[in-house]
Formats: sequence, structure tokens, C-alpha cells
Amino acid sequence: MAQQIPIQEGLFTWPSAAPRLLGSRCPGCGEVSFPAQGSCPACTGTETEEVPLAREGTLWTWTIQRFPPPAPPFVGDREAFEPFGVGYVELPEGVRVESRLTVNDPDQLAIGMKMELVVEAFDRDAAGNERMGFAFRPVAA
Amino acid sequence: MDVAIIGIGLHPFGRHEGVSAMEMGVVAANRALADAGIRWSDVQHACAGSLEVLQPDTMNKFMGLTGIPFTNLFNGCATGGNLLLSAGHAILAGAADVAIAVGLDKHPRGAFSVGDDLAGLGLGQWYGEIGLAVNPQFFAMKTRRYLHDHGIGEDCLHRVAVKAFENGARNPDAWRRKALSYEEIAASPMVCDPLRKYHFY
Repeated sequence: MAQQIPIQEGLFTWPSAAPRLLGSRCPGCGEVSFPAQGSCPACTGTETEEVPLAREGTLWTWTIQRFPPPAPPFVGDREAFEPFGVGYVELPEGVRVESRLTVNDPDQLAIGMKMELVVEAFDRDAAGNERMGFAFRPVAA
Repeated sequence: MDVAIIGIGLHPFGRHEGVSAMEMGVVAANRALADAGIRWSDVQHACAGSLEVLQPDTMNKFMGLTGIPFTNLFNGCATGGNLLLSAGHAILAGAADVAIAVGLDKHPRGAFSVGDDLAGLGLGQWYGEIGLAVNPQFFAMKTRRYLHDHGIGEDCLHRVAVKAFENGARNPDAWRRKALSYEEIAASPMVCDPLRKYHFY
């Protein structure tokens, strides 16, 4: 039976009704990173702890990817390509997460708007399993 | 100690058919030497950088096998700046009185691909698989935020491009040598919002 498989283990909690991105926090200075890493880019500390990140943040910047990205590394459909939104979402922990956005209409995007995390199927592998990626969507006003 | 640039040289920018990136680099280096009024044998330290050329230092067989240290380096878009830094450091360190920095390339059409191994960039493979590892995308988001922070309109991007094309039309070594109007630039296809075709071209 086809399954839903995260595009990368350790990026977000899954399966989950309310998935969270998994970052790392430096116990020395409090800096939060995403994706999680074992060292601190702010104070050069060499120990970090895993921390689930807030599900909501604000849009810090955005664009629309209007042409198919070069492949490799892109594995999406380049023939039937649909432009997609990309942005940096600033979370309350202070980290800005680069992410695909669920909308590709410039009129629906503005710096400072509230966004929330969703986990959605990005594509299917050869066995028919759905590969799950993360994205942010505008929070309904 | 002061370090001074005493000569510069350029091969016309472009994908010239039948001319390799290394051949263009050799032409540029020889023009820089001529501009400075010196010969290759006067150069005591060389460094060169390229994305497409595997070992640009092998241009020494065309320049002359003078036995000098010849360093290759690559730092993405910052390669040229780092070449200058490296040549300057050789002089400041007292290892050379005259050093040369050579940048050379000949890219295929289209956006750069980061290739199939993102571990080499300190990134997870997933990042490229879902379409996030794209240069114009990154610069578009930087530009969007910059416009926002400084209260600048998108019309400013068109005006910068008008200026750049105007300069190109006057420069025999430029990549694009045709001036474009504000209207042509503003109407060109969007690539990664807010950046359009003629903001890159």
C-alpha cells in the first residue's frame, strides 16, 4: 500500500495532525537554526539541542519561481511545470526558514503577512509512495 | 605597503563560437600585461579562477613556463574578488612584486545548475529536489526585501537596467551591446518576481 514518506528524515514531525519543523537551539547563546545542525553559527558553540519550531510566522520576503529549476537537482515535473511561490518565513524563535509557499499568485503575497506550516505531497517515488515536503500557506484573515 | 593595479585587460564578453574560455583568458592576460607595459616573465605570482575550466593554471603553457606559483581558486560569484585579494596578499606578504589575477569562463545558456550533489554545498539533497536551489530565486528574494526596507519601487529596477544597457551599448567588450528602453525592460517576462528577463540578461 502506498505510503506518505518525508522528503528527508529529521526535517519535520511526521505523521502528525499538526506537524512542526525541527530546528536546533544553542544552549550557550539561544540561537535557533533550521535545518537542525550540531554547531552554532552565531557563537561557534559545538553543541546544540533539537527543538520543534512554531507553526506560524510572518513572511519576510518572497518570489515566484516561474521557470523549471535545473535538473538535477530538481526532481519535479519540468514538462508540466507550474510556477511556485518561495519565501523566507520568520518564526518567533528568530530563525528565518526558506520554504516553498502554497500559493503562486503575487496578489496573495505580501511581506509581513501571517503564514502557517503545512506538510504536503511534493511528488511520488517509483513505488507510488507520496513524498512529503513542507510549505507555508497564508493564514486566512 | 600599498598595492596598486598597474594593468587591466579584457576579452570581449560572450559565448564566442570556436574560442575556448582558456583562450579568452590568455587574450585577457596578455592585454593586461601590455597595458602595464610588462612581459609574462615579469610576473612572479599568478592566480586564476573559473567555473567551467577545470585547471585554469594550465594556461601557463600558453603564457610561458616561468616556474612561478600559480594558484587556482573558485568562490562562486565572488571568484574575481577573491582572485584580486589573493594576488594582493602575495604582494603584501613580500612573496612577489608583480602578481596577476585571471578570471575566465564560458557558461552554457540558462540558469546555473548546482549539480546533483548538494552535500558539496553543505545542504541536504531535498533542498534542491524541491526546487529551492536556484540562483535567480535567491537574488529575487534579497531584492524584494531590499526594496521593502528602503521604500524603493520596482520602477527603480527598470531604471538600473536602462543605465546598464546604455553603458553596454558604448562598450566594445560588453556582453549586451544594444540599449533598451524603460518600456521594453518593464514589459519583459517575469523570471523570479520582482526580477524580469532584462534585469538579468
